[in-house]
Amino acid sequence: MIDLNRRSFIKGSLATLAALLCPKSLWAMGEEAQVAIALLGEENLRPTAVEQLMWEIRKRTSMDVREKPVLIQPESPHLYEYPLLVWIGDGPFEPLSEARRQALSRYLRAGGTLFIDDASLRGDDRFDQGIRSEIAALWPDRPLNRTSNDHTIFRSFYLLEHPYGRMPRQQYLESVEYDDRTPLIYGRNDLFGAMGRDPLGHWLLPMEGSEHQRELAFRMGLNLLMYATCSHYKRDQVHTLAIMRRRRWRVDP
Amino acid sequence: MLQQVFDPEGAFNQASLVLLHPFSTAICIAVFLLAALLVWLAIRNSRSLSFKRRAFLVGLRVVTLLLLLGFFLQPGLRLEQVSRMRDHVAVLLDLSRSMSLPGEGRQSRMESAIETLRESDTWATWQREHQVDVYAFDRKLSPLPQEVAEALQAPKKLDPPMGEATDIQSALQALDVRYQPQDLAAVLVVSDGSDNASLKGATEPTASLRATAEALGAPIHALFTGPKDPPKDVALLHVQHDSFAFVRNALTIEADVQVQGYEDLTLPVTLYQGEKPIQSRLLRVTEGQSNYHFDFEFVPDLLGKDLFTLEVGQAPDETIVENNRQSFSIQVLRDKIRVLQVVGRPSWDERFLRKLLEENPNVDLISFFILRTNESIDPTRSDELSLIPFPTDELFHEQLGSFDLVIFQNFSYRGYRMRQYLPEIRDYVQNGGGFLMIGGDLAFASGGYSDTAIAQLLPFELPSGKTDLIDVDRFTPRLTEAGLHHPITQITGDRGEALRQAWEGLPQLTGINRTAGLKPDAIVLLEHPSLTAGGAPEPVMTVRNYGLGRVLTLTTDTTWHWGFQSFAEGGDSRAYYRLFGNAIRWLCRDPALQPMQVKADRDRYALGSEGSMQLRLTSDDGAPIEGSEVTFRVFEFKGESHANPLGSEGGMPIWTETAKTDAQGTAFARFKAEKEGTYELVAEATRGDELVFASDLFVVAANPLELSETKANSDVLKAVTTAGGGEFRTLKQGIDDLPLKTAAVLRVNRRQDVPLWSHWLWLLLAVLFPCMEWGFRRHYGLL
Repeated sequence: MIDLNRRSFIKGSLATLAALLCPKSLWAMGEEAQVAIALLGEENLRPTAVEQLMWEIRKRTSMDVREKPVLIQPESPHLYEYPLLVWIGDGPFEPLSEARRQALSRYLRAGGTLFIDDASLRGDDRFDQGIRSEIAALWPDRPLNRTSNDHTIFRSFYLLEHPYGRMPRQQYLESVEYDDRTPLIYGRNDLFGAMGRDPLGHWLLPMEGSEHQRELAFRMGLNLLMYATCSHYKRDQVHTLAIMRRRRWRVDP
Repeated sequence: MLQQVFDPEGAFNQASLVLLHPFSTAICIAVFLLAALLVWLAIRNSRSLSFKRRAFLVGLRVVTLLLLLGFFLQPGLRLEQVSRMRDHVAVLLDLSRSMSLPGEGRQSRMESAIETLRESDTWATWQREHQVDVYAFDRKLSPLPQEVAEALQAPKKLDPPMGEATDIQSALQALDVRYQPQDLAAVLVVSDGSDNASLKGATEPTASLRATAEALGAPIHALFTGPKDPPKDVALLHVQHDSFAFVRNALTIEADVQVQGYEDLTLPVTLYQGEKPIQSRLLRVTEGQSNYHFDFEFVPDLLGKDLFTLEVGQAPDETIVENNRQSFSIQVLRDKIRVLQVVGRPSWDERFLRKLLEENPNVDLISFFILRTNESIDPTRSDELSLIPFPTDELFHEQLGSFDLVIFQNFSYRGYRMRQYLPEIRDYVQNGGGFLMIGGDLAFASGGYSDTAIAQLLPFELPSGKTDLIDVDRFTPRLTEAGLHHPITQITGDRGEALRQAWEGLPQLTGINRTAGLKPDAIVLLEHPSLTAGGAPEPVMTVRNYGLGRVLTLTTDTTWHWGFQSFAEGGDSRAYYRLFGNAIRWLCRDPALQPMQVKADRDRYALGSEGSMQLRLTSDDGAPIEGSEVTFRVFEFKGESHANPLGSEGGMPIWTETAKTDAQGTAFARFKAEKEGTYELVAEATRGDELVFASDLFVVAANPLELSETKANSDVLKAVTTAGGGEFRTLKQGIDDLPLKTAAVLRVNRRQDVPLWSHWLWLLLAVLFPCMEWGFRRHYGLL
């Protein structure tokens, strides 16, 4: 999954040792200062996936994260403690009540971000159909558009060509733009399906395609968190030149 | 006779008989028909009698009915006190500044007009036979000055008129409310036609002018005072500029010059900044062209208000030189506040602050987020990452001085070989930079800043140990007394208790960086409700002046709750935006947040007008200072400011006044602009032990509008007379035989109606006559 050489192995080992000796939580500002994910709904369809992603993020980045996700409903008084919501679905669902829809709409307009992950089996479009009508009701004045693969979410930490997941169903994301940001992102590649492990460390679900796709799915998830916390930081002029240079290098080796 | 009975004191001079009944015509006709029927019945019923007896009875019936009709019609005597009035001739005399320009002869237009009126026989006749009301007008109608009224009676030397504009239509409209149409015999407008309001350049009457003339209901005549040929003159017609500009950004000033009476001429057009010429152009007059346009572009390099003057050289034999020069002020502002935001790790606090900074149109934001540290384990090839090296030398050595504000948000310098830059950051603040440190596990003591140069500029001491550096409990910060007044904490339009309540209504915060006691000059705006440090409440938001710069600290990394969680309770993010907006302005020393500000209420005063000067004095914590003695002085401005202790030695003030600040920390003074020029208003006050100064610049000048267009315009007056159905006359033609309307001459001052029918005699007769008729009918055997 990751190309290792001796130098990177030694570097990684020393860093792990340092991290263990000096954990980030030593002076942490408490759990509420950590970046956490809230799952929309009453059931976690992809158990341990968020925990695994957060563990990777803590390991790979400077971000201080809370591994355990919370399950939440739009009308919850705690909704605004979580600026990032994830909605994972794999089949038909009851349309949101008007109250829930209004609460979610207000949350997204206030600055929250919602990532919707379609975890349905191939050929089952019932979640997709339901979610599209929900999005249309949430944003009647703003269409769900295909997201450019030049969007900041594809370069917020890793340079990615397109979205990844357990099931590469769509080579693009779809999103709604509002107030110079992307509060609603919809992916159909079962992103979180690539991340769950059982207690013995085995992956819960197999990948469609190579195992390298799993690493790319983690990178996609990490980029999602980076985008939610840093928004268009990587669109700043100071980064653009370096990023363009690297992308060109990748295209024309 | 009746009048003598009812008005024995002779209070009324006219009487008439009237009917006072309230009934409609139809009812009256019905009553008359009924009366006629009764008369007819009387005639019919008395056919058997002799003619004499019959006529007698019918006569009695008629008299009875007439008396009864009297009750119905209610006859009365109308007594009136009537006076005989003279009708009015309204004369509107233009006293705008252009009337000071030469007319046909050597006299000014105003003097020629006054002389023409005074010497005219018609003027004397008007005054005998009519009420002649003479008004002055310029921008608006006003009573005639006493000296001008005297000059209309006998020759007298007059000061030149100084009206700042000419608005003929407004003057006519003002007449409309003064007169009833029936009282007005005529209106005479005496002007050079240089209207610079709604009739500017008019050759035909406008619809609005026609409506005004119609409402007056009298002929409008015009007496044109201007010369046929325009005077020899070079005038700055218009100077166009923005009232503000941005420092180090090009500013354009446009000038239009009008040349009259010259065909071959070259003159300099010069732009002065204060007294110093900064740019010059050449005006080459060519035959057939009278209007010339010039652009001056320059880059202001200093903040603040500056005075500029544009001047065209004087031409030989030029009639009017006052219109060759115009002064004006331009406020030079900071272009954008350059903010460097350095963040130790991505977080929600960083995300909401970055969004706020990005959305602020006055902020030019450079962000650097540490996304990965040396502790991070990720052997991914660097070409697969979007990360760039942290350019510490460029940011904290080469470019540091270009930033107005540096924000360290939950950022630790450790691990980036940055220790050598920390003294540079301290010196940057000492030299006037702004510094904001926001808490978190990588900030303050837990960021390793104890015993560094950064610790020197912070408003509190940092703990030196490695434990108990952070408290993670939730809390609602408490607004301090200083916070009640300080500009940073004004998150609503409210003050006092309402402001305190607004703060208490914000979502709670979580986690605080511990400190080890305040420095003496620290000002705490928000404090922890229960934790203490050095015997005082633990500071949450603290400010401090350090050298010429300013420092703000927030010992928490959860203020994003105020920008997002406030929505959970039906609120919004306005308090969060206001708080950081105020903080940025305060840190960058926004002039509007200076502890002492003085301002003239206008940048430019008309000659002779009165200006209001206002001062506001506050302490370091923003609280108004009451009862402080303030001295206002006005100096002629020659490019050097007098806002310093030597101000009075640098030149004598032309005006001085003292005042005391009130409970709001404000003091006022009024200044009369009596002489043209550029001036500096300097205010001096005592703030604690310190003598402080503030200043503002302003210009006193006649409105350039009147003298920029020196050509008289007869077309405007012709349009006025066309609309008003009057005649256009030149001074040479005079006012003889101008037609006047025959106006109403009677006016009823008092009126009283005396009812006649209600007299007891009427009632007696009304009873007597029917009885007589009844008696005689019986006597004649008809009953």
